[in-house]
Amino acid sequence: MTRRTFLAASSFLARAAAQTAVKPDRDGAILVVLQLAGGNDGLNTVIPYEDDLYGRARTTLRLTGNQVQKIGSGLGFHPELRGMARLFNEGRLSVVQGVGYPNMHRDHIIGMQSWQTASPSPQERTGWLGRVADRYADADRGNVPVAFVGRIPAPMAIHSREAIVPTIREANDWALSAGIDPGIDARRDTALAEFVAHTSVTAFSSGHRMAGVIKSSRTPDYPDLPLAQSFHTVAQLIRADLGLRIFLVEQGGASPGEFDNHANQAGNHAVSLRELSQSVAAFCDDLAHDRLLDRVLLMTFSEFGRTVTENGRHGTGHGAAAPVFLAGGRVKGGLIGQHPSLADLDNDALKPHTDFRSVYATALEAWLGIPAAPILGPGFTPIDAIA
Amino acid sequence: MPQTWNLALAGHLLRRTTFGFTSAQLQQALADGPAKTINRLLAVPPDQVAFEQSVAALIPPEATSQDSGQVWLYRMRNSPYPLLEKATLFWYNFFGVAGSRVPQPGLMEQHITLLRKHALGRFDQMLLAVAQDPAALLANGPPPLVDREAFSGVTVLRGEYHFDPARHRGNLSPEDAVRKTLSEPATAQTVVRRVGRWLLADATPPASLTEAFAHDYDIGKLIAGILRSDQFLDGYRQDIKSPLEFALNLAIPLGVTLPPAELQADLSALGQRIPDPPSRDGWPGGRRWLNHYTIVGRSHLAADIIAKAEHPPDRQTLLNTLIQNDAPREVLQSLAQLDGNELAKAIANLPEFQLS
Repeated sequence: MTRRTFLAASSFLARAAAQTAVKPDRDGAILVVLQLAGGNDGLNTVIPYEDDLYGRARTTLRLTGNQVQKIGSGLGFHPELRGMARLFNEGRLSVVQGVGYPNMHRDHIIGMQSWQTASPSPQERTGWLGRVADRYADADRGNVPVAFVGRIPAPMAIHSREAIVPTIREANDWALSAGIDPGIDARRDTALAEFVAHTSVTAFSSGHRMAGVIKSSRTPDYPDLPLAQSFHTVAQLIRADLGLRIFLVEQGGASPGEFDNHANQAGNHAVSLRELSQSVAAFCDDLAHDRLLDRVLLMTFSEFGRTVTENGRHGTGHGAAAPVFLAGGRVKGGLIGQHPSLADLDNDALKPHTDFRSVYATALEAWLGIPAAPILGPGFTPIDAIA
Repeated sequence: MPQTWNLALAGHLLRRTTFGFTSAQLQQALADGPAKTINRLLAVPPDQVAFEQSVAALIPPEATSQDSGQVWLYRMRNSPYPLLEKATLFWYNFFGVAGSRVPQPGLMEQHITLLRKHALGRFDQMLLAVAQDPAALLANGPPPLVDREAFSGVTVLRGEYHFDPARHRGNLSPEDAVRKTLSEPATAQTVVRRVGRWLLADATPPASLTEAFAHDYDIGKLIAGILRSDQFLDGYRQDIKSPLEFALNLAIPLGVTLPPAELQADLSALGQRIPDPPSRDGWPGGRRWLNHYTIVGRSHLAADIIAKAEHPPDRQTLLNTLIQNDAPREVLQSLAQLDGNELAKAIANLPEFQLS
C-alpha cells in the first residue's frame, strides 16, 4: 500500500466515523455499481465491426460500420448507446475490455454468485459490498455506507454478516416529513438508551433532510424507465448526504434477467441497451449539473458475455468475457485493454484477460481509497483507470 | 430500578417471553405477580391444541422456506403459547439455518417443527434431532459444537438423511459425536450463555443453573430458573427490540392483524429475513439492529401499523401498554398534548419503545 492510498484509507474511515448530521462531508467519493442481469452480449455492445470473424459468426445479429457509434480502434458502440457514446467522447466513460475470471461459470445462478460474492467458495454467504458494509458500518453511530436501490429482492452482493444494508425502492423510503418527534432528544440514564436516543436524532434528521431534497430539487430530466428511476433515486440519496458511499442498482430484474437473449436477440437487446444508455446519460448529466459527477464512479457488470456464434434462433448462448463500463467525472476515459481475440476462443466464448476482482479493486482502492485485500482476498491490483 | 413488582417489571417479563401483549394481559400479570405469571407462561394453555389444528390448515403441502416463514409469523402474532414460539425462534437463531440455502419444499417446515417440538423440552434430544435434520445439514452441515469429521459419511438426498459407515472417515458416528459433545462442559456453558443473552441481555445466568442444565438438559427448567433469578430484573431495557418484536409489540396491543407476506417483506427491509438469518451465528442483534436507515424504516412501519388500528386505546392505556409509562419526566411531558394515533406514533419513535 502506498502512502497515498493509506492516507486515503484513513480519511475514508475518518469520514465514515465522523458522518453525523453536524457537518455533512461533500467531498466523499461515491461508487455506484450497476448489475445487468442475464448475461449481457458484450460482443454486440462494444463491437469489433471491422473483424471478419465477427461478421461471419453473427450472421443475422451483426452490426456494421454504418450502424455502430464508432469509438476508434475498429470498435463501435451498439447503435442504441448514443448517450454513452457521447460520454465516451467527452472522456467521462471508459471501457475495460475482456473482463472475467478463470474458468468462468456459464450458469446464471452460479455465475451471478461468483461476481456478487467475489469469492471462490460456493459456501460464501456474504457479498463483496456486504463485506464492505460489515467493515465500515459504524455501529456506535448508526451509520451504514452501502445500499441497494431497486425493486427486486436484495442481490447477494450486499449480503452482510452484521451490518443491515438498506434496500431502498424510492427516496421516500428514507424520508420523514415530520421533524424530530417530541421527547426523542431528552437525556437518558443508561448507555444503551443514550445510544438509541443519539442514533434516533441523527436518523430523524437524515429523514428530514431526505424529505427536503425530494421537495426542493429541480425536476431533472430522467426518462420514464425503471433503471433511470433507480438512478434518479440514487442522485437524491447522494444529495441528501446520508453517509452512503456505495450504491448497488440493477437492470433486468431477478434471475435469469432480461439480458438473457437466447432467441430473437436483436430487438430485445436494442431495447435493453437503449434503457441502459439513456439512464446512464441522464444520471451523469444530472450529477454534472450539480457538480457532483466528480465525486461519482459508476461501474457496470454482468454475470457473463455471450457465445460468439449466434444460434439458429437469432440469439446467443451463455459465454464468458465481456466489457465493463466505468463512468464518472474522474475516469481516465477511452479504452482499457485490448478487445479479446475472436480467433482464440474458449468453447465459442471470448477469453478474459482482466480479472473482475482487479476492476473491483480499482473501485475500492483507487476510487474509494479503502484496501481491497480484506474484501477480495490478496493479489488483485487496481487497473489504471482513475485520473 | 425498583425491585418490587410493578407495571414496568410486568412489562419486562412479558416483553422477554412473548411477542407482544394487550393491556388486559399486562394488568393480569401485574395483579398475579411474577411467580404465577411465570408459571402460566411456561404451561401449555388449554387452547393450544385447537390453535395447532387451525394453523395446520394454513401450511401449503409443498411449503417453501418463504411459505414456512409466513405461517410462522402468523403463529407468532396469534399463538396462545407465545413462550413456545419465542423459544422456537431462539433455537432457530441458535442453529442459524438459512431458508435461502434450503430450496427443497417442506424441509424448512420440518426444521421449524422439530425445533418447536424440543424448544422447551430437552436439549440433548434436540441436538440429536438437528444433527439428522436434512435442512440443517443442507444449509450448514453438522450443528454447532459437534465434531464435523463425524459427519463425513452423511449425505442428504431428496430431503432424506443417510449415514453410510463405509464412506465414514472419523472415529465417531454422528450419534456418538452428539453424545460426546453433550458430555463436554463447554456445551452446557455455551447454551446457557446464549439463553442468558436472550433473557438477560448482558447479565450472566447464575452458575447453579449451568450445573443443573449440564445434568438434565431441561430447557424449560433453565428458562424458568433464569426468569425467577434476581439477575432477570437487571436486564430491564438492556436490549434492543428486533424488527419482529418492534412490529408485534405494536400490532398485538393495538389489535392489528398484519398480512404475513407483507410483514415478512417489511421485516426483511429492516434486517430480519424470516426464515433466513445472515450466517450460522444467526442475527447479530443488539445495537446492530439500529442504523439511520432502519430507524426511519421502523418509524414508517409503526405508522403503517398504527393506521390500521380501528379503536386506538385511550392515552393512559397506550402509555401503560407500550412503555409502561416509564420514561424521563420531560419525555412524558412532551407527549402531554398528544392523543390517539398521534400519541401511538410518538411513543413508537421513542428510545424507550426501541428498548427491550
